[in-house]
Amino acid sequence: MRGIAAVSLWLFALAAPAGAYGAAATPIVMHVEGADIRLTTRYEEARTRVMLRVCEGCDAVVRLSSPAVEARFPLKGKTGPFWLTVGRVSFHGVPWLYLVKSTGSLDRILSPAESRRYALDEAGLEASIRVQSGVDRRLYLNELVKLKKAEGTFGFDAGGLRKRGDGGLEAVFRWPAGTPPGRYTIDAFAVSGGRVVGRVSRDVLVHEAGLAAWISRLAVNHGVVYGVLAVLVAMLTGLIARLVFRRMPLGSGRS
Amino acid sequence: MPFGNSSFGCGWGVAPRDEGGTGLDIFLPVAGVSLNAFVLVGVGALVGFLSGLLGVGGGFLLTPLLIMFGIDPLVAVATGTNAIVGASTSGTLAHLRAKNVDVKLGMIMLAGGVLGGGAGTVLLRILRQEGNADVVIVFSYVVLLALMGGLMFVEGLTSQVRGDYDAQRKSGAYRMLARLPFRMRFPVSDIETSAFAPFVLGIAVGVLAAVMGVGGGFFLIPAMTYFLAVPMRIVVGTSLFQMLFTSASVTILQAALNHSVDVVLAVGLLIGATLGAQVGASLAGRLRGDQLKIVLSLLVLALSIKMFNDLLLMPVSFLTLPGAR
Repeated sequence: MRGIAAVSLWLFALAAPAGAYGAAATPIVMHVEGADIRLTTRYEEARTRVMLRVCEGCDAVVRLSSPAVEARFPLKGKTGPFWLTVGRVSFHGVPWLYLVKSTGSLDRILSPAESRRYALDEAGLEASIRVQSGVDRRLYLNELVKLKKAEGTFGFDAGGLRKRGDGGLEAVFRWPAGTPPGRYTIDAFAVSGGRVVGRVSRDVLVHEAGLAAWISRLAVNHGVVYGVLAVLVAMLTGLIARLVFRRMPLGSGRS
Repeated sequence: MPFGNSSFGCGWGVAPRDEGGTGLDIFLPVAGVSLNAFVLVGVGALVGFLSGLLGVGGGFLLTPLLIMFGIDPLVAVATGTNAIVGASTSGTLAHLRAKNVDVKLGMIMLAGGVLGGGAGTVLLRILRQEGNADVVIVFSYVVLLALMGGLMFVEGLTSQVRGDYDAQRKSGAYRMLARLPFRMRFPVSDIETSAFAPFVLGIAVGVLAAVMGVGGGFFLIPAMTYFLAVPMRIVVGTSLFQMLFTSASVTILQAALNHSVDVVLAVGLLIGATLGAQVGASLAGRLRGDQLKIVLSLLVLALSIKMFNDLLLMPVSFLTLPGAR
């Protein structure tokens, strides 16, 4: 029933003439598919589709992010020929996930002040993160962003918000494997003349489900039971697989 | 939070982060990554195939391959140990039925194995807390693969059939070890030696299983033959018996202390490995084993060089992911 209501609302929004979106009225309408993410063993299905309609001539930016938390990262240093962990660096206000997609280059569609104000570009994100005192802030922020980008949990995708055939915009976020369960936020911004003219937000709930959730919980909370079970499952798999494959004709050689 | 991607892996087969999946990706709940089902079973099949074809243990190949595929080294090691449990179960049962297992000797080795496995697991835990477990695991593999590759290369080159191990019975080393305290008689193996020697061997195998995720057959079989003078027929059965239960205990310890066993990964690998081993064994009679051994040795040596190079390369960032739960 809720699904039908959501679809009706979306169709209503689509049916509305583009001219109905005045910058002062409703500059942006958002519809989200996949706002309740179940992380299961079929992980590739975990994606969120964001559909937008923005005021005529407007650009748009959409951001998927998690709450900012305090985090400590191991620091590598060269010890002899190897790169070993030589310490840890603390950061405050680091989101685990921070993915931004836009209709075009942020430099082109937004003024630097607006980007920074809404933390929509790299500089804006970095400005919102605090680094432990006594270390080179610039250096470690750069390293943090480099690491998170390589991990796929920070990303700035100019052009990732694409036009649909019906004139609306669409972005698809694929949830990175290893996404911690929790509440995430999608913020969508309508941009005109280098300024944000409208903003809508929506929460997305991520929770583990099915076999993956059960295994994950058991592994963390009942390690010994999980270990015994892993041993039994391995023994059984080994025995069954051997029985099955032994019966398969695999050639006339020795087996 | 699950383990992150390994900084050593090149991520082959690991689902891209922001693109559509292939529809066959399986999420590994403890490893925290998604792997293509064909890649998962294929890695097991490759290791099983080589194992069946050349008669080499697969453990030493499995863990580095998993690391190459982007699995965290700690998870690769612990899951490799879990896979060894499955791979050695039917063999152990067969040897028990054929009375090829010296249970008394095996139990003493197992006691050492549990102790060594416990020490190795705790060592890994400390190294993980220090943030250097991955480097130690990868470096251990660089050394092991170089040794294994070198040995296989020489063996393949000289086409040397392993000598009659029984001819080495009652060697000088055996006689020296037999003089140590806690002397015992082992009727099945027809030897009388100090319990200290098999116990220490067991410890070494336990440490290897915990730190590297290998069964240790490459080390155990020659050691049991040379130092303990156990007949070859009994060596194979008893080493499998000890390997099975040492790996089982290490799996439980890794799960309890490091939360690093991924049972989904282990099951996929086992299915592939069993199929691969059958195919490999069925082809073994038709192919030139010595030539294949040279090819495999070169691949193993190349893998060792690649892993060593990865250790020396400057990381993407001076910071690394916290990585552990």
